[in-house]
Amino acid sequence: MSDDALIAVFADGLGLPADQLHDDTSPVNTPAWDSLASMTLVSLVEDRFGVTLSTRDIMKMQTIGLARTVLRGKGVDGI
Amino acid sequence: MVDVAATVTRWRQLSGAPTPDGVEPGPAVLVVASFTAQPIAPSLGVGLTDALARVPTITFADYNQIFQVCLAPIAHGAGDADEIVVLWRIEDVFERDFHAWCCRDADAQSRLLDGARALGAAVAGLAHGRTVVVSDAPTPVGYGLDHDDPEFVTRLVDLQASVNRALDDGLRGVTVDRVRLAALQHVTGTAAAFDRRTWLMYRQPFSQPFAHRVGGEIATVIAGRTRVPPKVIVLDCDGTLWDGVAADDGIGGLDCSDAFPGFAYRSFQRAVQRLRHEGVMLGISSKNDPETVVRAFAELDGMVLGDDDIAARRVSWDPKPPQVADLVAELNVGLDSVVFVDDSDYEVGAMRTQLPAVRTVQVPADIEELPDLLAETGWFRRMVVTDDDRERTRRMLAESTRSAEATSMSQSEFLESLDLHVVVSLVTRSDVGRVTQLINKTNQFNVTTIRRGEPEVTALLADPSARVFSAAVHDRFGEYGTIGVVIALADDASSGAGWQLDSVLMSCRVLGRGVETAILAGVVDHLRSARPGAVVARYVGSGRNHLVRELFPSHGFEPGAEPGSFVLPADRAIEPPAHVTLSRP
Repeated sequence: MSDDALIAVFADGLGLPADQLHDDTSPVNTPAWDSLASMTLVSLVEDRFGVTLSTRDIMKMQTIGLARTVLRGKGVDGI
Repeated sequence: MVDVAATVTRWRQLSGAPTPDGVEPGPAVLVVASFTAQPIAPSLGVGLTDALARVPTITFADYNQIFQVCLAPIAHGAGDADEIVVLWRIEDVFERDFHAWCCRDADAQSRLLDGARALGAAVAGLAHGRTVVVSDAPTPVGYGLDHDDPEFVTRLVDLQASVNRALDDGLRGVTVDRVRLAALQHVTGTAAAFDRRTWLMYRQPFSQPFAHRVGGEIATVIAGRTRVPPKVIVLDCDGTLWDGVAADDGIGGLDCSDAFPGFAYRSFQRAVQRLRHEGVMLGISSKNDPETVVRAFAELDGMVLGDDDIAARRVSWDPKPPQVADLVAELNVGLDSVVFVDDSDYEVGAMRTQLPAVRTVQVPADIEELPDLLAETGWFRRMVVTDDDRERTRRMLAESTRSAEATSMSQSEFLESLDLHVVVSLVTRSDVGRVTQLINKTNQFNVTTIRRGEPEVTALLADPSARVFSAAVHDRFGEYGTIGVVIALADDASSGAGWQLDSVLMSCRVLGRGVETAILAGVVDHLRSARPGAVVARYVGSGRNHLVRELFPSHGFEPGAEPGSFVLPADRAIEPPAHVTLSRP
């Protein structure tokens, strides 16, 4: 389990070890991040951080780093 | 709350791991859906793995290709599938006609119904020789449909019901399993079952929790084919059917009235009586004087259950485990198909330790939970009830009258007096349900214990080199219903033989009356009229069918070349017993 809560959620959703993930990880460089994984990630992120994501939020989350920005923008602390 | 994330993780591990050598792989499941259905995979995969102890493979056809898959199954990967799951929604498959209906096009409804019938027929074609699970259509969502408008929702649900009936029309005559999306959506809530974001982005309409629920339900339906549903509920009386203890409080101190707390017990009695009409037999196991319980049933205000609901009873001061074992033996069922209900810790504990195969349920301390007690076990869900099941209690009651009379007459006088009729007939489509049930649950009087599913039995009916017979029995006490099955295959292998008896099985309820002799007589007669010659048969020991080891020798068969094989020479007939009136096919 990664210390980084967001990386941990993505590791879970993508089924990849946390040490292979970083803020530049995206669907472009990560074959496991397909549309099914996206759907899973949406619900995992919502459950873990207690937020509701709109399609605009989801479309913005093109990398783990951008996901971090979106979540911070929604007031999620400590990530 | 089910942990969706944990299921997703577990399924990833299960589906990612290679099947170890020597382990049989699980079934190959092909999901054909009118929408993106992939999120059902984790709960479907985990559910099947837990139920079957094998890991299935799950693949998905391209979305909204149901007709294409049905018309060209092999080209769409259905050739290798053990199970095909068809999930569909009105607003996907019939997108245009549904929109036209919303726009008040007067002809749209009949086009939708024709379409649903055609869909049913296409799926029916797919079901030949394959196991298919097909959904009904949930209430349409998305496209700005206003589910807060009661007038619109009433119209919409009415359309949905008509469309689903049209699908059933199209499916008529084939055996498919059903997954009830409409009911699942109803209990989840139309809004909570829908995710408009994933619908718009990925054509995936189900919310994650709903997808999880649907996958789990499909696993339950598939795994449930091999499940043994309870056949008997054994009920305690004091503190279970009524409030109070008869021996202490007297009949007047008992309560199952319309007022609390009696109303909770009365409601429970209703739930139990409903199950009895679904084919579950009811037994009583009570520590009381027998006449006390008889009086309570007769005199107590608010009793729902009557004597004719109870198939067998043991009322005495003996310990309950032997009471129940004895009662279950009388009803001729296995302990693993018995549910025992009691309010006492002691009795529930005694059952668990002494008859661990029996499922036990304890009356809750919070009595408001009593009416839902049996529903919440989930054991009685998805029961497919045949008319024969419904008649079971009446037959058992007739049986006890038969037994009572048997003791006071000689056996042959008794048999003569029965006016026993055995009707042997060729099985038709409409009998396949009951016949398949017999094939799969008869253990003792079963010479080869070959199990067959409905599709296999249906295929045999159409096979000119096979004959499938059923036997029904009635006597002056009542109907036993269909109690026996014989499957014969034309035998070209052995020299001089006309037929081979592949399966001979019979319910133990009719043992000891010469019924099996009458059945063999009727079957052999009919077979020889189609194709004369010897009839060969075999006995394959299963550990539970010693009963029939001597069946063939005792009916004039001679030992065959191989151990366990028997031959009835071409010139030897089987005569039905004199006390039986035999109707041949």
